[in-house]
Amino acid sequence: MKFLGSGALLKINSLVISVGASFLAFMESLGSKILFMLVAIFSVFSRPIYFRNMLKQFVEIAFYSLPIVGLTAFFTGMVLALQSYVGFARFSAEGAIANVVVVSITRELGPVLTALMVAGRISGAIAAEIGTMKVSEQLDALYTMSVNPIKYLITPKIIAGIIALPILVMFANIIGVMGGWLTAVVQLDFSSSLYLKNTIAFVTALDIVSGLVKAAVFGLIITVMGCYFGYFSSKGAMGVGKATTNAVVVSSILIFFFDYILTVLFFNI
Amino acid sequence: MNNTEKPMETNKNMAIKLQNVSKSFFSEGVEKVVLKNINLEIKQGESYVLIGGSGTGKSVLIKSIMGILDIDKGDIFLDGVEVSKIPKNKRIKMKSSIGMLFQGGALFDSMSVCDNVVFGINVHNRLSKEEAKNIAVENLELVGLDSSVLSLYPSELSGGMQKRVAFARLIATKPKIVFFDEPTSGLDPIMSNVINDLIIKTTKYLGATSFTITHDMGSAKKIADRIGMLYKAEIVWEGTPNSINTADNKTLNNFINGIY
Repeated sequence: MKFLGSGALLKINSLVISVGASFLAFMESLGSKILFMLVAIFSVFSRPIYFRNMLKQFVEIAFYSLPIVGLTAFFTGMVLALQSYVGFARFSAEGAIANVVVVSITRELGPVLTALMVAGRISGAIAAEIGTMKVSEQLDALYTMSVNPIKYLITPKIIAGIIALPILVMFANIIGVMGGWLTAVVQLDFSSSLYLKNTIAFVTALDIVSGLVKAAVFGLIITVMGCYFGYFSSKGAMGVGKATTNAVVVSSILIFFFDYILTVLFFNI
Repeated sequence: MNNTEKPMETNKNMAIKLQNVSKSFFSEGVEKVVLKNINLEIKQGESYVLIGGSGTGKSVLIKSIMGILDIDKGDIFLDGVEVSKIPKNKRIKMKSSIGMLFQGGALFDSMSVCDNVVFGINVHNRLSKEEAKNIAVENLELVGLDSSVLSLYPSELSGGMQKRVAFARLIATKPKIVFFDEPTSGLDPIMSNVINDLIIKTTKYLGATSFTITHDMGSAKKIADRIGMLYKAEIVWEGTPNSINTADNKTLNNFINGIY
């Protein structure tokens, strides 16, 4: 490569090294997250199984997220009905509002917005809880009392997340559709029975099932990321704070990424 | 004492036995040797205290013996069983006869004092509320606390009380080997003395072997049958509490007299 000087070659060399190092670091991080998730999930198939912890986590994730999820879904449904009305009025297709609202909510907005709200509320909280337990040696204390911290703390959270998210999404779907219905009937003078009839007639099983499967995957992502960043947080308040932020940011990004992948898979696009 | 590699035979009356235990950490590609060919034998019922400056690897040693950290090389025997060769997931089930008091107590924040004390029993065999309360009260009394603290949470207790509750949690499972990680750190001299007395009293009550790490010389002299000093990843001196002041070891003398 006579046309390149030694300075340029050195720059290319260091660039290749840094790209390679970043790629290896990314693969290592991905591998350790997947391994962590598999260990935690497969722990559920061996005794002891901490059902009480699972139930406690389920209540924490599902029950206490109901208000924020309900509120988000309700306003999303209302805004969606209004925006659709404004857009469809240009084509004199206002009658399709019910169809658009129900499909958008069940396929996309219900699962994604619910997951994002729960990620903000739960993923960071899990990371902070486990990170603090690690810093204050509570995880080591569990170990010294013949308790596997992964089985006792992490597996219940992940299983609860996988079960809770689809239930929350079902709830969000109903509230979201009701929000759209309320706006259509009260503000836009639609016929209540016609709106509901259109909604029920248009929605298919695939719309609902795809949303619920997405929700289960999002539940897995939210809890695994919270547990992973908490479990491997560095010591000190700063380490726990960083773990909390990373848990929320990475789970939000993964939610969007897997939403796209699952949409492609479900609808053969 | 120089820790050269020397093979030792397994001895049944040894509660804790370490053979050539080594452990290093890597930080940004640089190896830091924390433990180098450590050989140690602690008899059943003996109280062994390991002293050494901050960051010399005392906590790493105790966590390696407990199996919380993996060692790089060597063998660890607890009650004659070579635990270092047992996979971590199986080893975790063998810990019922071992207990540890952590530096900060490591009480579970989300649980009351009662739940903390009975945790080690309750998590394996669910107790009724009445049984749990009775066991908690019995063990709290042994450490000088009464039932008024049962419903309190760790954040509502002083540092000394947290240590005592942690003590009660430790003795509730009736371990045969107990580890104390800096038991008097962060406590005033009176509370330190209370904790030292508790260590003597509870190990006697349990008939247990104890392994304590500390840099509190007063505490070491009071509770130890034998004292060892860890310096630069090796045990450089071992002797009785009476022999420590007359020991001909510069590192030890510097440590005792605070010379750096």
